[in-house]
Amino acid sequence: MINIYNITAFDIVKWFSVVGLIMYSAFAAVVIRQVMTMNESVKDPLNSIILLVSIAHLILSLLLIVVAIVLL
Amino acid sequence: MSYNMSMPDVYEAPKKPITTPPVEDSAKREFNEDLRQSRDWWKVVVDEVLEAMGEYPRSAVLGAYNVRPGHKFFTQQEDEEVIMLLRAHPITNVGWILLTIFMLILPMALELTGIFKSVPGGFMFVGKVTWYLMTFAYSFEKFLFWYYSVFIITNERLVDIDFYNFMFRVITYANLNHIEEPASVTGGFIRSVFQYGNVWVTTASEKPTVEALGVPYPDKVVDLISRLSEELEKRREQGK
Repeated sequence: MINIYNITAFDIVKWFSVVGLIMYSAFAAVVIRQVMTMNESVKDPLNSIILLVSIAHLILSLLLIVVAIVLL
Repeated sequence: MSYNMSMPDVYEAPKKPITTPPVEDSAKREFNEDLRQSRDWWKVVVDEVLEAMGEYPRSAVLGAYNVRPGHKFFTQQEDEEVIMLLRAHPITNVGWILLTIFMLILPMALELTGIFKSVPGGFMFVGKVTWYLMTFAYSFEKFLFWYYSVFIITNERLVDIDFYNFMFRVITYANLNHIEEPASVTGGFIRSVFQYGNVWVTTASEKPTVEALGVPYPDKVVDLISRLSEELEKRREQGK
């Protein structure tokens, strides 16, 4: 059972940060969808690189959630 | 009585070598004429228009002014070719690039002031990485909007693809047969130095104008649109 008297200000900040990072990851996923829509509009040699960058962005944001849970 | 008098020549044509077109030229002309009558007549028209303008096929990665780049686009038809693909001039990106640089420097500058001394190391690390990730997301979004907002001139129509925010795409088409008054506007110091400006094309449809904002060499763009539209008009008058 969680003892609410043991909760510090840093704990609150930690879980707010985690929730914020989850929302950020959702945004990163939307960016991938957006890039796919953009790629449909104009076929370009750079399209695959841009898609890879957006996927890397999502992976980094997911990693950051894990780091935040472990480190904070 | 003999009439053995020779009449002097009143006019003597200068002796010029008879010039016949080289075999290659005449063959090319014949080929072009055949092509002109065929289904792909527009290829000759486009070649001639570009030649008259002194343009040649060129395209570059991240290029803002691409002639016959060979790219494909959304809803492109089989007998349609991209003649020109335009983006806003790269100089228009300076604002967000400067802001990105400022955002990259900001955490280091704040750290030097010592206001984060009481913050634990773990929070500092996660905070910094989050900040840099958000900075990247901001610049990436700006880049995407610039890169994919394009103005395309094909042999048949004008296509204006604009992205305003997430998932919000506006595509405007204007048939080259239906355009009325292409116009370009350049002005101001920066625009004059970097030779970019806006192009507006008036159409007879409900949405009266198609616009290309901040594109390089707007006068050339208007020239191309006018010439192509004129050629199509001639073709229509001939009933072809």
